[in-house]
Amino acid sequence: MAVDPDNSEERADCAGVTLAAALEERNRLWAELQLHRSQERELIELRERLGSIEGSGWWRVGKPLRLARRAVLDPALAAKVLLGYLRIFRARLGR
Amino acid sequence: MPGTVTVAIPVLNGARYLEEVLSAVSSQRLDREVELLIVDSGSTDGSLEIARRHGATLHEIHRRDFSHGATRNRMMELAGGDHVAFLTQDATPAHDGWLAALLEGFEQAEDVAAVFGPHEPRPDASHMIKSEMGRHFATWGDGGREIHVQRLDRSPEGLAAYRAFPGGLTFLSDVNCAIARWAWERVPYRAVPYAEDQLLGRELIEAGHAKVFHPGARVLHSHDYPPAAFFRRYFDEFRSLREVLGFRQPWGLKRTLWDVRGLTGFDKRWLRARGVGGTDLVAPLAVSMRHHALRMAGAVIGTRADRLPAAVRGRLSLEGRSTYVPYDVPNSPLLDSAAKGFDERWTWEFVRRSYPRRPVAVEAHAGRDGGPMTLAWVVPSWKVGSGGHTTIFRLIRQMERRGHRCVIHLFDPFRRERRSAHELREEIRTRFVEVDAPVFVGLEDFDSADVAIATECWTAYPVRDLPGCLEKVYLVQDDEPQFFARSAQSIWAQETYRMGYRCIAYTPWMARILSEDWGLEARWFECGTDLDVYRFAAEEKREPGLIAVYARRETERRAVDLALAGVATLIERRPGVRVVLFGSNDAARAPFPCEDAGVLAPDDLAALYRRASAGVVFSLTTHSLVAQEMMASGLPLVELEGDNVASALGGSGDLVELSEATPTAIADGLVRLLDDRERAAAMARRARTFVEGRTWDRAGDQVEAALHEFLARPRDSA
Repeated sequence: MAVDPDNSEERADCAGVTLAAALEERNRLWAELQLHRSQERELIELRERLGSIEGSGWWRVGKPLRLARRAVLDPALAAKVLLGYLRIFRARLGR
Repeated sequence: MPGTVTVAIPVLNGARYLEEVLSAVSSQRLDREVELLIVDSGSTDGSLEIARRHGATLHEIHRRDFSHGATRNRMMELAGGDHVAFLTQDATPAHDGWLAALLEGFEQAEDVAAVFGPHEPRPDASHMIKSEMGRHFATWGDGGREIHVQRLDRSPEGLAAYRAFPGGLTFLSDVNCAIARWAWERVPYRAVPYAEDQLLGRELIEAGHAKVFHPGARVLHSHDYPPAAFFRRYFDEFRSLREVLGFRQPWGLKRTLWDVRGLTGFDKRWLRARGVGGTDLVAPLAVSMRHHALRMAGAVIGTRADRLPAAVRGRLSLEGRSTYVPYDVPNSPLLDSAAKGFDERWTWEFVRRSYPRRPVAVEAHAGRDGGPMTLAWVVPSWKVGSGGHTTIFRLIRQMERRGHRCVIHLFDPFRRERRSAHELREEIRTRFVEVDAPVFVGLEDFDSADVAIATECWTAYPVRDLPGCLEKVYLVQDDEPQFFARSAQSIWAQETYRMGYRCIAYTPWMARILSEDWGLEARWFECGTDLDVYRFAAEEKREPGLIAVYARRETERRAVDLALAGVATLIERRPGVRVVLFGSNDAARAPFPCEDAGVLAPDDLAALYRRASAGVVFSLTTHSLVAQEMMASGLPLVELEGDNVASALGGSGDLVELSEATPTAIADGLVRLLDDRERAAAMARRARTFVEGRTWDRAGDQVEAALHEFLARPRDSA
């Protein structure tokens, strides 16, 4: 917007508008930063929780059951995995 | 000789690697003169000839005069260099830049007293040794990759971290390190036979000097022994640690097995990372397990060697030493049992550390004339249904609706809350108010805000010192010092009124207390009521003789026992009256038959208010929101007369039945309400009209105006 450089009131109004816009932008960025940090925290907490679940004895004990469940739900994948193990076994025998 | 650096090596029958070590030292690329100093304590394997061949300055001592600490002090005295690099006779500099890297460590800062570098295992070392050494030296320098300058942080957090893991800061090894002469002159080696380097590392750090890890100062160094010899070596090593440092390896059947399992797990990951998998892991992991079990055994038994007969010690020792000689080494003043016993997680530590008194920390600014603000709200932990928190979250939502950005930090020194920030935010949005603000647990992530707002007396402590704020405001919903009997807590709650906060108080009554009694600048707001929930019910819908009594006895300022005494007096006169208690999940102990509704959801509460013919709710401090909700529902109620109620409702008794604080007067008030239903209904209608003027939008306007006013007048110009 064109401002009369000799009109101090106009200049003050314009500066006020610019300042308000800058303030709004700053606040928006501040809010984004807070959101970003909170999401990072959540990610860390979820990873820690996942780590403690996967590191627990119960999780390991349940692994065969989970594998069996996957095999039942996805026979094609189970077959693929089994073939992979067979190949490794044959290769070892061949050695 | 100025500018000279000395490489000092104590030797005893080191011929196996000495030629390699001294050749590597001689081939160092350095623009300074290097002095090679060897102190031999009785070698008979040709080590002396090797040393002479390499032009070392050679000093010989008797074997019985050797002590790791005292001998290194002697070497420092004999050395001519301003910096003395120590090696052992089997530690080979890994490349020709080793010495330059050590010296580069001293250039990182003026106060660097010592520099150390990583040890790399020799190619023939076992996978357990390789895995352990890699893991150990990854402790520093972001995985062992970067130069790492270490100093002791003496803040409470720094000291707590130091006590939790002192080895991270104190580690120093004479296998491969360099000492600055000026530092040694202030903190020499202790004259101990073992662990002299660990002691020196600790004492240098605690004296305030810096220590540097340099990844480039690498040496090849590892020991491999048959299993039984490893056990005996660990026995010797840990016996020495116990003799000199008082260290005792903790043990327990489950714990030790778990430790062995964990160490084996590290080896498994190390092997997998190098392509070993499947059944190929079985044999090496069995070796790992044996190694770590023997190591643990050596450590546990070695640190308890004092309990063994001398003959047994001699048999277990690889060195053939049968003695156990504790050394009188001063404990670390920071790590000794008294300091270790200091629990920095003590509940009231945050109060203790707030002294000496200091005013609220605010940034200087030129004043802000309106406009959007960034607001950081610091709240205590809550239970669902908390009226105080409902008010806070409603105000946050009001600010968000006005274009201000908010963030919520939970301050929980009493460790009541175990949930994550995400879970807490979900609870706020589903059980309180649907705010947009992100939630953090604690204040570690606090960055800055236009205004930081303390919402309860304990939050006033950390908020006072938060950085990066233009203003600090105290939202005072009630006179919290009055919550406590004369006690440390009442003193500490009062202390928050001396911190220099600008206040926004709930009700003019509370604002007057802050300004007249404490000289604080205080504005006020009045809470709204959720008129959609607390809908008005006319007289004809009410059950005659039904009284609703707010009975949250665990909150003493609700004067529940006084209310029960008043109702009991009423029942003596009117046996047909029926009473419903509500507001607490603790079992009610009333002296008359009654129904206990417990803590009710707002809709159920509102339904009760619409059914009852009279209500009783007392608050000895700030006027209660429960009373306002009863008024909104058209329930005539009895309140105790006092300034707090008069400030909120006027003292005329037009809106509520005001009563003296005696059972008889309370009963009289209830009788008037029950008998004169026309009068009661008229009072209820006036009360409803009064409450309709108290909206949350109005409260939001009041709080926003106060915040803008505070920001417009920076403290210097206030």
